[in-house]
Amino acid sequence: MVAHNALGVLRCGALLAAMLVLAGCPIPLPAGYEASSRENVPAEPLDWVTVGVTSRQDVLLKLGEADGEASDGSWLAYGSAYSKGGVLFVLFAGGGAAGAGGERVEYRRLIISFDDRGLVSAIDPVTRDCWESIFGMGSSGAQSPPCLKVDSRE
Amino acid sequence: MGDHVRRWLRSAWTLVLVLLGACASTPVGQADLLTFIEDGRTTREQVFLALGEPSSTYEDGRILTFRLGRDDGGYFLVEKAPGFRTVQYSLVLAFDDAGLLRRHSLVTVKAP
Repeated sequence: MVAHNALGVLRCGALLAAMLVLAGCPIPLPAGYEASSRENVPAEPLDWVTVGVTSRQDVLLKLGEADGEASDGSWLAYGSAYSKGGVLFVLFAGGGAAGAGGERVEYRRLIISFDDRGLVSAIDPVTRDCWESIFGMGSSGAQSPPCLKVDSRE
Repeated sequence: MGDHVRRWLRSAWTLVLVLLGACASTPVGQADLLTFIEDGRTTREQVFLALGEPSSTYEDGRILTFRLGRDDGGYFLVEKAPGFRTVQYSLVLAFDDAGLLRRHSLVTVKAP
């Protein structure tokens, strides 16, 4: 009996979601860097960096201010978020609007670690591709959290 | 056409021009904002006086960074906020222990 009710609720939810998608106007989300992202995190290996030779100063002069850093200065983080595009379904009704959709985002992060002399000791590049969901109703909205934090080692 | 109508039309036209002018943005950039920067000559003090507080400091203040944008007038400073929303350039200044500028670079962090 309980399982039967749960199935009914699921069906109802799926039907509502399908109604929103089918009744909503699809708006394509263009590809491009996210507004708050930097654009100078290279995808290719850093051939200008030599472990044990390149200094923190060299890194900063080449890449600029970091997105994040260790409190003891032992690493710097550089990251970017590039949207590969997506779609948003918007439903207009009664003078208001609601929408839901998703976009594919590529996160790129470089953690550059330094030794006690301030020379590069390691480079840890991470690239992660994920789908993010977007919901909005009236003047409020929400977005799923990023699948990779670009300003920290987490 | 009477004088009244002509005067009214002139006033209306002036009002339209004023309103259209308000839509145009005035450049806030300064062409000479960074011209004082010279390796081996510029001091940390001069940098603070000209550019104010840096957006970040590294290595006990020996390396300073400033966030910049650029428009038709030249470069302008951008206040620190999470992310790089309106930032186009990162100015990096590296000083020696005496506070004299040794190396600097203007890094493009976002395509203009």
